[in-house]
Amino acid sequence: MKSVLVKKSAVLFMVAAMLLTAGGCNSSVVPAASDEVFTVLQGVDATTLDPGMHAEGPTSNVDRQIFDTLLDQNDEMKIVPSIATEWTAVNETTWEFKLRDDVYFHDGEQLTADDVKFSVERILNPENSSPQISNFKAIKEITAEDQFNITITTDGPYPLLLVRLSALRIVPEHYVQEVGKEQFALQPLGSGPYKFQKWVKDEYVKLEANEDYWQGAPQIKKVMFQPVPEAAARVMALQKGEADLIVNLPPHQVKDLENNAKTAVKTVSSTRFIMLPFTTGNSVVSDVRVRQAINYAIDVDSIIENIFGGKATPSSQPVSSFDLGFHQGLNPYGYQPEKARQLLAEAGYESLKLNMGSPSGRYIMDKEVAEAIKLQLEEAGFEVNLTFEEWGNYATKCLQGALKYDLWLIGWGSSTFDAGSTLNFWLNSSLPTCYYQADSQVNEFLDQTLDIALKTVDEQHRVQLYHQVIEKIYDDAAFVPLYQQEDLYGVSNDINWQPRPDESIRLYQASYK
Amino acid sequence: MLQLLKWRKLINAVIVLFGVSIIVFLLMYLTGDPVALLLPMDASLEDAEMLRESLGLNDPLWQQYLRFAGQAVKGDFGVSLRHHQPALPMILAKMPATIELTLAGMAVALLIAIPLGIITAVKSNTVIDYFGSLAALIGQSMPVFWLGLMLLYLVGVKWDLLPINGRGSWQNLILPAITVGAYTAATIVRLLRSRMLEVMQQDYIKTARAKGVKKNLIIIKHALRNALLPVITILGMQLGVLLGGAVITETIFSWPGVGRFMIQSIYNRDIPVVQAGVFVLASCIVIINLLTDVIYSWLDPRIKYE
Repeated sequence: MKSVLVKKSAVLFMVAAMLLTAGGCNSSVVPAASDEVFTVLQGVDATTLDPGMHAEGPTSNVDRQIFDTLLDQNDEMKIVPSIATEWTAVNETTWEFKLRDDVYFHDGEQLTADDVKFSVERILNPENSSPQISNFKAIKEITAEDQFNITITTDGPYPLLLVRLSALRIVPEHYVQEVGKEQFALQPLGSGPYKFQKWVKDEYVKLEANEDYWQGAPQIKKVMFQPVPEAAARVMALQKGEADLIVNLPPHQVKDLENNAKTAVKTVSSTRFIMLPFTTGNSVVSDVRVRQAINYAIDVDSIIENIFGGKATPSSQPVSSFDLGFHQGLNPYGYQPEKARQLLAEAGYESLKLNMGSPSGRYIMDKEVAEAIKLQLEEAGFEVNLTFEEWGNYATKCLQGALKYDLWLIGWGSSTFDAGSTLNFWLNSSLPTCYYQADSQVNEFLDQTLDIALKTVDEQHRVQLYHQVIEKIYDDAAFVPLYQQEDLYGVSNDINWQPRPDESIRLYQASYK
Repeated sequence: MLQLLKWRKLINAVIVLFGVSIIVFLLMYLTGDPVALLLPMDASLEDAEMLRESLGLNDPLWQQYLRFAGQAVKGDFGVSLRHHQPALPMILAKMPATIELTLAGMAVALLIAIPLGIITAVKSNTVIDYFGSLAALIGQSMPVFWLGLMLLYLVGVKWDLLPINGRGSWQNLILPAITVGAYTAATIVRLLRSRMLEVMQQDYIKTARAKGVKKNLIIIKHALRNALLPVITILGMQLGVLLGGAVITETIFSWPGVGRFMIQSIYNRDIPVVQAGVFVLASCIVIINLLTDVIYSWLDPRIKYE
């Protein structure tokens, strides 16, 4: 008798093999990226293709190809016409917009004022739980005057309206009503330069050129977005020619791509900056001299040189250089270890124990930066207890005002290109995210100045008010501003494409060489 | 009696699933607020509150759990907070990719491990054994991400033999399968070798040898048969682990499996998806454990539920 066991094992093995082949046959076949398909690799896949129901960069990069926005921002982040060609502020709360009459959705239906109204109202409808609701909730009413004219009324002076509308993707009312919200998120239909073709979740999104696009047909005809979470794998795919554009290139791989004849690196100063807010409620950092000492003890230039290979800019304030209200006149504190020791001594400390927190893996090289700061502070006489936390936990605590560290690392990118929302977020003492609880006079001054600024439509006056706030927190060392990031992209040498500071990828402007 | 015991196992399984769902539910709520991660960071407090209210996240925890459990028994795990799609079908859609990778990894592991395990045992303390055992040791101590990246670089880029990203053709499957299979293979080689050596010392092997039975026959029929039993246990356990998603391998090779999807959902605190995922995976593991028991008693009739 042959061994029963061996026979039985063989049976099991064959069953496994059959299941395996069956699995293999059923799966769809991804064509290898040929010269024809422009392939973009991002770290994650789109979560939904309904442009009104998410607030995520990588997802926007996909849906931005399919949809048009009411207004747009050019490469310098200035507002420019798009679907709306002209706009006027009738008074402080009423705006009129004139729309193009030559824009058609991919199914041939014309884009009209009703679609714009619908696109705003579905975001504002609480039943839809849109994470974009806060961007548009200042809109009290939107009326379609006729097919191509709309009037928007806000519930108070709202200087950010145009910026918000430049992110408003117009969705087709007839189609969303017909197929429903869920189906629309899977099979989107827009009026943008690319038509949706196919989406296999976590594998690829395929798009094809809209030859009838109102700005003219795109030069690149076929596009594929693929999620490749591992940065090293994205770089290899680019080197191998399996990709044309990759995002979030790690700084230490810049040289590899620059030395390769087939690839290049594109950089752009990002709107995101990294800083260390102080929790001034903690007694150790309540003294301004200690906060200044910490500012002087950190060598930001060395961090930029050694960790980012020079690809970042030191910052002097918790506002990005692209924002309206950025204070050109302020220089970073700079690295002065002697001064740091002196200030610390003046404050009555020989050595000081600090608790520091940081996320890990959320921002480019965040862990390395936090560790470098710990070492630099220790050289200046501080004793640093550094804790890393998972981002979800850290972000939740941060927003609840529950981070207890004396100083902690966070990144910030304003979506409004206006210093107001950022300053208000961190300094409005009625919010839990105001970790700078100084004496009541200072907080009162900051609150009042910001309150007036946020309602001031006149830009020049608004900027003056922002500057007053920024100067005050600069002198008080309320934060350690570290650096403004540079976004790094790897590209194939066969293409023309330029990155934008808002991290948005516009393939309409790309072409093959 | 057997029937009763099987029922008891099934009831145990249900209790396990129930316990897992409560633990996951609590952990998700204790470690982060999904709304904080869903909204842009500068969203106002009122907006966050409104969204929390509309998602039902303001109700007492026990109410939320009961609502979830009531729907879950009907197979409805709710709608993903991020993807705006029903959670369970999203998880199930990822299962084919995961099963494909798991089975391929297992096949690789067995194809390497069984012959190597036998040879190293039979030729113990020879050069072959040293090399085989060394290979197994390396396989077991090599970090998965390192092996994955090395394969990606050497086979995918340098020698340009195979595609490096995604899923689709059988070529896409090879590198991830090797990466997944290497550790399991190494474990099995070491286990099989030591079991074989042990078994070869048994009296019945000596008897068979004394009777003049051919050596190959002894190895396959008498020794391997007995040495394989613990291997089945390890395989069952590994299968369970791998079905939970080989997260690192899936990440390196952009493999669209359950593991990667679950990790993203956990980072986003996408509670319905995580719940559905945990339920599916816990079910898989429970079923595999049941199957392992059944196969075990089928392969070795001496082992009964009693």
